[in-house]
Formats: sequence, structure tokens, C-alpha cells
Amino acid sequence: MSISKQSAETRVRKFKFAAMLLPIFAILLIVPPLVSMRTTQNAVILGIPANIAYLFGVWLAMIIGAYILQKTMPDILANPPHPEDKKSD
Amino acid sequence: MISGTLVFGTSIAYVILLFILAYISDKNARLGKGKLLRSPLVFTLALSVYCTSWTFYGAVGSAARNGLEFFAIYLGPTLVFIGWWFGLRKLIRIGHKQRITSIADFVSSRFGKSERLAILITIMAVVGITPYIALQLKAISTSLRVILTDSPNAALPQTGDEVGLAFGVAAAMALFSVMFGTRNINANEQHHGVVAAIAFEAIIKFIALIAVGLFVVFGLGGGFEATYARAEDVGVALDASSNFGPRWITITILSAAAIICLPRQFQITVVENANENHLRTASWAFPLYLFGISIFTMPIAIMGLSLLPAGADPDMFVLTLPLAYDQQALALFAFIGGFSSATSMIIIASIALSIMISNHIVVPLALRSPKLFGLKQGQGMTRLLLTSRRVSISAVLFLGFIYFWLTSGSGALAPIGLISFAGVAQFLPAILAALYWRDATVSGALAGLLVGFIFWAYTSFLPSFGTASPFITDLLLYGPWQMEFLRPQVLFGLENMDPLVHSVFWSLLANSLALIVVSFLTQNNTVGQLQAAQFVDVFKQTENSQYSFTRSSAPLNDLLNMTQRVLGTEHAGRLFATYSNSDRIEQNKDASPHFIANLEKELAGSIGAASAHVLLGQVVSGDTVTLEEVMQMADETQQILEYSQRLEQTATELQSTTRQLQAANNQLRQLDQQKDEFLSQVSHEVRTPMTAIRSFSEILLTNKDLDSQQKQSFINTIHEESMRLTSLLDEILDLNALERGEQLWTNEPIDPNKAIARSIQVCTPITEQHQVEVRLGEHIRHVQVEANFDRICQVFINLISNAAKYNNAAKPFVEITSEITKMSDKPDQLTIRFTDNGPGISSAHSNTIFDKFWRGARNPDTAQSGSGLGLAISREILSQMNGSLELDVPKGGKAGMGACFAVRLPVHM
Repeated sequence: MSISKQSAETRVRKFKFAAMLLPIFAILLIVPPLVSMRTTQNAVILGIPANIAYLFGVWLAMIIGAYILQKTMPDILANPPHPEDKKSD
Repeated sequence: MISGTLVFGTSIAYVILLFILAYISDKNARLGKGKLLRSPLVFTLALSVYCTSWTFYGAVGSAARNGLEFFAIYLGPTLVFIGWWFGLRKLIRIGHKQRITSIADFVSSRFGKSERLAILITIMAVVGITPYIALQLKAISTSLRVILTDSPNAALPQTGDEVGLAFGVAAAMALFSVMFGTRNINANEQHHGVVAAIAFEAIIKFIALIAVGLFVVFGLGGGFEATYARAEDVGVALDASSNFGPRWITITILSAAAIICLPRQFQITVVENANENHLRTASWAFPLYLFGISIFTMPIAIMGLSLLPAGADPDMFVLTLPLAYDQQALALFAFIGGFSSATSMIIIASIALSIMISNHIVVPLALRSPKLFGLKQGQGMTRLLLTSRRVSISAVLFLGFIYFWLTSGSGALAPIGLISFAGVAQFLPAILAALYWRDATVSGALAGLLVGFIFWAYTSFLPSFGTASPFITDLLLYGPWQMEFLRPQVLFGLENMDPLVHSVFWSLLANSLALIVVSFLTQNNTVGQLQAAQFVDVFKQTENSQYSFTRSSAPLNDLLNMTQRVLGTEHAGRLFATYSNSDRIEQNKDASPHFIANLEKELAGSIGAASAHVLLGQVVSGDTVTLEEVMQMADETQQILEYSQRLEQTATELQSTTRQLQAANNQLRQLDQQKDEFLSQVSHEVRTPMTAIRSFSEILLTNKDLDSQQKQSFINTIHEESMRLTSLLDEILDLNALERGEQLWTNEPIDPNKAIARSIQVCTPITEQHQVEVRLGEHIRHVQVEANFDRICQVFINLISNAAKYNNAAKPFVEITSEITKMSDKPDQLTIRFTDNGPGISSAHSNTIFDKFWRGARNPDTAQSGSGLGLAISREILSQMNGSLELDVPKGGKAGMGACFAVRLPVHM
């Protein structure tokens, strides 16, 4: 099912759920046991020590996740401009 | 070695560049230009004021000493930003709605605009940030020494020169911050120029660090792989077991708290934020910035340890590596990068702190004793605010210098920063409660903050002076008065714990517990309850759901005087000009509560919510009891508004459904009753002829000796009665079919005059019998209507015969007239009126004559009577012709004189 076919309400609900899941999973990824789970000592990924590669990889995944999240945010959730921008009183 | 002239010259040139940038940006912002200034990009770059010289220099040192720990410093803020939807968004929304000026203002505003709370947080922030500022001073002075002496050796005992240098740096920074941050008092504490300068500095420090990183990794190390291959040799801990323990989690929590609680972060994220939507971009772009700035941290640490002589200060690797390999230009650029990161932190932190000090400490004091502060009646407070901010900035930097001096030689940068982090993290429970817990009270917040602050000061801040005073060294080892269970870093016997983890654990635990327990035991006052609702339910409120001093009033000119004192004549004039169009404020005119509420927000934007509230309270007189009640109501209403609205909606729906059901039920009952009545009437009608038929046929059967004449007459009666019975049943069937809506014929264009003529002819026997004259009055001659000829005749005959049968006038007549009525939205109507001069129909019966079996008062002369279904059938027939049959007022005649039936039919066009 394409995103455009979903009702606005469904998209809002899905967005909010995703917005909640992203930080929760991010936390799970950087605390033990996942963060300290390494099978071999001194493992190396692409020449970079496994622990550093893992942290950078997880970090990048969080950034991409956040990018996608805000990109798919339904427009109706966008906030009104700051009062300063439409100051009239 | 780089010449001192070059270093100082470059630094000064850089500062001047920043100043020009800030000046132009400020000017543009004031002219409403400079869209870039309000862009998400600038917002994101300004956020990177998080990356101070701790990041620039200290992270490498931390990596060299503690392995992967530096990651946690950046992962915490990353978590907060990718979870922006739940935390930061709410913070910013409230910040905008309440015109929050600082973190102290935020917390105090939430907890009933409490002044005590604002003061406590201000003091905590100043104390907590002092080590952080010392860190910057240390970084700048050390980097200056390094670049001037070209000596990679660290931990040189700090000479008098070093202290003097730090003092010089502090003084210069104070001057710099004063010039930047306090050139004017802004309406809402937004400093566009400063933010632009900070954003510029963010770019400089990023590029500088990346440049050094590229040089170190690819110029010296031979790529990432080769660089990391040296890690084991130099003893950098990269394994999981030593890195991801309690300290890892503690630092992640601390850094996540810091990105919200640090006064400078709060200033940039909430106060300087121009548009909430910028957060969307920042949610990924700021973590990306942190990611980028961390890429080379570990490689630089490894290369520094590997290439530089043992004992070199790891905190200065970013500078000493290029210097050691004669990259003087790069070293100078790196120095400027570090200088950037330090200055941006100092500027924003000192501005944020000075706002807090002036708004929450100086202004309340000045309001209480104006004379002491040289405030004269009618004199502006703007001067006082500016002066107090300038003094505060200098004082904050001086405190930083004192800390630096006292803790001199205490080594690395990162541990100093973490002390600050742990200090400001004490705000976190109060902020979380402010955002999500309605029942948190001002006493709870005060208790939590105070307890947390004491625990932090005892377990973290105090021990940092360990090297400075033998008394404190003793205290750390043996506890106060030899009470070992009170040793600051082994409190209550909690041993074998990292000092930072130990301190954060105790302070945050005690802080949260105190907040929760005291909140449960106490209650918010009315302002507190209202503010709680405004904060916790900020997303449920509409634009205008702000409360005001209900029933409050204040003369406009009093308010104007007061506002002028705070905001200055010009700004106050603008504010009030929008309220009253004339230039002169009428002496006795009162301001509206709405205006007063807005004014309070405007004032809060300059001097903080608590001061604004107190200040306005001096001028505004209000019915406090009512005010309290209204607030109470508003608060509780807010809470149940959503539910009650939903309930109300459901109730309304239920009510209307019930009404519909009741109506339907009534209709059904009526129908049922009508059916019963109809049945009994039909039975009655049928019974009369049946009785006649039965009795006559019985007579015929039992009396054999009747003469033929009598027999004939009886048989005639039986025949007539059975004919009547048949026609009655026919009519009932007919009516039934009509009522069911069965189309028994098709409508076609017919000439109504012909139908009238035929009907008159058919009725001749009756009219002659009753000696009724049928007159044809004024009528439309050439017209055609949509109808069925036979059926319309049936209606006409019924009407004429009724008029004849019931007419008891001396000279009875029936007059038939017709006319055309123009209709706008449907075909024109032909109205045919049958008017008689009979007894008429009383108004009581006008509604019932069309009922089944209704009969008029019979003419005593006429034994003959109808079935009582004629009018009902006629009406049904006409409704199937899209026409109608109504009792009408005779045209030109008086009501009550005779009856007049109007037949309306659509004209065939």
C-alpha cells in the first residue's frame, strides 16, 4: 500500500509511533548487552576496530533514521510559525 | 614556533571579524532582512555551541586516557535530538508560548512563577558552570602557551605567568561577551547577531578539527587502518569490557541531560529559536555535526600517543601534532578553531547566566528596594538591566578564573567538564516534572533541586578542590569529623565505584526522591496549578487559551509608566500604540484583562516570568478571590475539558437519537391507534348494510305470506345495501392502494374545464334532488394540467356532491372558479375552488375532515350518506398528481361562511 493512499489519521499515528520507537531502539543499541557484544577480541571491520565501527555505524543509522522520520512527518503536524514571524499585536 | 604577534594578531582579527558579522546580522535582523539568520541551518550550527574546547582539545585527551568514553558525550545529545518529538518540541513550544528567557525562568514559570526557585536555579547554574568556564580558560591559556613556546610537554607547573595569562584571557573574554551580548535589551532575549557569530564559529571549529584530522590520519598515520593498527601498541583501550560499564551509561545520561539543562544550550535551543520547525532539521543535522566532529578524535589520540614524546599532554594533541611536524599554518588554524570553540561557549554561557542573574536576582531586589539600586520614579529599568548583565558577565568569568586558579594543575579537561555536567543535570528531574507531571509542586521542585545540589556539591564539586587544600584532601580520605560513612566519594559506604558514577547516582537519586515525596505531600497554589496546566497540556491548547487577570483592572497610564521603566520609552510606546490608536493615553481608562495578560508576557520576555508577575501585581488590582476561583476552575476545566467535550458530544448524540426514537415510537403508536380505529370503523360501516341485508332476508325466509310488492321492495333494499357494501369495500381497497403509493394510473395533460363540465353533468341528479345551483365562476379557459381525467372527475364529483348534500341554505349553490399561481421553482399551479354557501366547516374540524370516515353534519333531509372516505381518497389522488386538496378561505368571501375546497394541480407547460 502506498503512503499516499493511507488516511491522514493513519499516517499521523504511524509517525508518532515511529517517533517513539526511534529513540527507544537507539538507546537499546548503545547500552549493554548489545554495545559490548563482540565475538572475537580485536575484531576489525574495514580496518577499523569493531567497537568503533559499531558505534559509528549505529550513530549513522540514528542520523539516517532521524532524517527519514522528519522527512515523512505529515504536514498537518507541522507547527504554526513562531509568533514573532506573524507579529501583529 | 609561531610568533606571539602573529598569534595575537590573528586572534584579534578573528574577533573583529566575528564582531562585524554579529553587527551586520543584528542590523539585518532588525530590518527584517536576513532570512538565513532564521534558517534551520543557522539554528543547527548554533546548537553546536555544545562542542566547546572540551570537544576540540579535551575529547582527544579523553580518548587517549579513557578509550571510547568520549563517544558517550555525543551519543547522549544524539538520543535527545532524534527523540525531539517528545522532549525538545514540547520544551520549545512552551518556551515560545510563555516567552521563556532562561532555564531558571522556565522552571520558575512552571512552578507558580516562584522567585525562590528562580534564584536557586540561578545560583546552581552559576556554581555548576564555573568549572566549565574554567575549563575554557584553561584550554585557551594552555593552547596559547603551547603555540607560543612550541612545547608539547604537559603538566608544567603553572607559573605565575600561566595564571596571569588565564586572567588576561578571562578579562578579554569578559570584554568580548559584554560587547556582544549586552549591546541592547531585546524584547525576547533573542540575539541574532550573537547567534550568527556562533554559527560562523561552528563552521570554523569543524573545519579546523577536520583539517587537523586529515593531516594526522593521512599525512602522518597512512590512513585509518594503519592509524588504528597502532592503538594496541600505545595502550588505548578499545575493548568492550573496559568501556561499556556503568560509567558509559552515566556519561550518556549526563550528556543527554546537559544538552537540555546547560544554560547555554537552553538559550540556543529554546530562547534563540526562531521557529519550532527548525527542530526537524536539527534532529538529524545536529547529530550529524557531532558525528563529523568525532571522526578523527580517536585517530588523533592514537597518533599523538604514538608519535609525540611520552608525557605530552593528550589534551593538546590537536595543536602539538601539527606543531611537531612543522605545520605552522595548520597549527595556527587549529588554535583559532580551539579559540572559536572556547569563545562561543563563553559568550553564550555568560549571556545566559547574566540574563538569569539580572532577571532573577537583581530585578527582584531592585523592585523591593528601588533606592538601593538608584532607581528613581519614572526612570527606565533598561539601564539597570544592562549594567547588571555586564557586571554579571564579568563576575561569572571571574568566578571561572578563581576556580581555575584554585584547582590549578588538576589536569585533564574532560573531568572538569563532567563536574559541570553533573551539576546542571540536577535540573533534569525538575524539568521532566515541569513537562510531564502536573502534580509536581513548587515545594517539591525546591526540595529536589536543593537536595540534588547539596549532594552534587559534596560528592563532586568539593572533591575537585582536593589538590588545592589539605583540609579537603583530609575530608576525602577520612570524612568529616572522622565519620567514614560520610566520605564524599564513598558516601554511605558505597565503595568501589567510579567517583563520577557515585556522585551522579547519589545526587540524582536524592534529587528525584525529594521532588516526588515533597510533591506528594504539598499542593500547588492557584498560579502554580494554572501554569502546570499550561506546561503539561501545552499541545492541547489553542492559540488564545491564555489566562488573564480575570476581573482585574489597572489604569493604562500606570501600566505605561511601569512598562517604560522596564522596556524603555520607545518599546513601551510601540506596545501601547497598538492598544490605543491615539498618542495620548487617557488618564482613567482601564486596560483590558487580555491586554494585561499580553503585557505580562512581554515583560516576562525581558525580565523573566516571576519578576514580571510581581511587577504587574503592584499595579494591577484584581478581585483576588474571584481570580483564585477562576484559576481553580480553569485548571480543573483544562484537565477534564477533553473528556467532558467528548462526553458532551456523545450525550448530545444520544439525546437526539432518543428524541428520534421517541418520535418514531409516537408515530407507530398513532398508526396503531389509527389502524384500530379504522378497523372498528370499517366493521361498523360494513355492519350497517349487513344488518339490513340479514334482517330483510330473514323476513323473506320466515314470512312466506308476503305479497309480491313487499317482497320486491325488500329485495330492492337488499340489492341496494349490497351495492353500497360493494362500493364501500371498493373505496377502502382504492384508498388502501393509494396510501401504499401504488400508481394506479398515468398522468397526462388534460383540460380541467372538460373534467369540471363532465362532473357537473354527472352530479346533476344529486344537485337537482337538493335543488342546488352549480355556478361556473371566473375561470381560466385555455389551460392543461398534468392529471388523469377519470380520477380528477372522481375528485370533482366528490366535492360537488358533498357541497350539494350538506348544503342547508335557503338558496343553495356551488361555485367553481379557477386561477393560476406562478411558482418560482416548479411548474405553475392551477387552483380550482369549490365554494358553497352551506354551513361551512368549523375550525375545530378543519384538520379532521380529511380523515377516513369523517362525515359532516348531515342534512336531515338526506338519508343518503357517503362512506366518509371521499375526501381522504380525493386527497390521496391529488397528491399522486403532485397536487393538493385543502380547505381554503373562499376568495373574496368571509371565513366561516360556507366551505371552500381548493384543488391545486401542476399546469402542463
